[in-house]
Amino acid sequence: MTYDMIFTALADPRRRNILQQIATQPMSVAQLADQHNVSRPAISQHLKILTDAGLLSVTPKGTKRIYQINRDGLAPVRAYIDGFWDDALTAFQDHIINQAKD
Amino acid sequence: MLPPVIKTITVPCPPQHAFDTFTNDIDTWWPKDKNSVSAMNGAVAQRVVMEPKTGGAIIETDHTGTDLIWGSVTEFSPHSKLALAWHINLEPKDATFVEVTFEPSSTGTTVTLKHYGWEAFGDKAQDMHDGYNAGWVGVFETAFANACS
Repeated sequence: MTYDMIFTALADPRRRNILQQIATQPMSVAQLADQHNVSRPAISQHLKILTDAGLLSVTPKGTKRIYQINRDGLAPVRAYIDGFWDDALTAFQDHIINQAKD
Repeated sequence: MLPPVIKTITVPCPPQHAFDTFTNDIDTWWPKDKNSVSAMNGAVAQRVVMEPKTGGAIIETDHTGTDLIWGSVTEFSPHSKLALAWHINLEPKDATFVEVTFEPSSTGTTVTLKHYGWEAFGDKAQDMHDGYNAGWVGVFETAFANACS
C-alpha cells in the first residue's frame, strides 16, 4: 500500500538525504552519484523506491532522467491517518451511544 | 510541514466512562476488521489490548494469533488524558504521537484526538549527530508545504 511504501522510502537516511537535495533542485542520477560518491545503480535503486512511493517524479531530458519532488507525495499518508481515526472514533462513539440505549 | 490530524467527537457519558471505555475496553469497540495489521492483510484481528498504565503497550493479536505491538502509552492520566507513541506496522523508531483528551461538556464528554510528529522521521540520533535533522524538517516545511493545504 502507498502509506507503507512512503514510510519505507523515508526510513533510510541516504534516501532522506537524496530527497532533501532534490527538494532544493531537480537532479539527474549522474549528479546524485557524484555528490554521494556511490555507484549510479545504487542511486538508481534509491530513486526507484522514492519514485514508486510517489515522493519523486521523473522527467526525461535528452538522454538524462531528471528527478524532482512530487509536492503531493505525502498527502496519502495524511489522508490515510485521517480516515483511520475517523473510523476508530466513530466506532467508539457508536459503542458508547449503544451502551446508553441499553 | 504537515499539520497534525485533529479529530473531535462528543459522547453521551461522563469522562470517567469515556476514558475507561477508550482504554480498558478498547477491544469492545475498536474496528478490528478495518483498523489493524490483520485488516491490511484482508483479515480481522482477534483482539486489541491497551495496558492501562504509563509505559504500557498497545497490542493486536492478529488473525494468526501473533501479538503485534502498535505503540506504547507515554501518559496515562485517568480520566482526562492519554498519550501514545504510535507505530502500527512500523518500527518503534518511526513512531509518531497521538494525544487523546477527555473533557466534560454539557452533553457528556468531548474527546479530542491529535496525531502529530511527522517530523519524527528525521528525529534519529545518528542524523542529529551530524546536524542533518534540521535539514530533514526543512524538506517537509519547504517541499511539502502545499501537500495538505
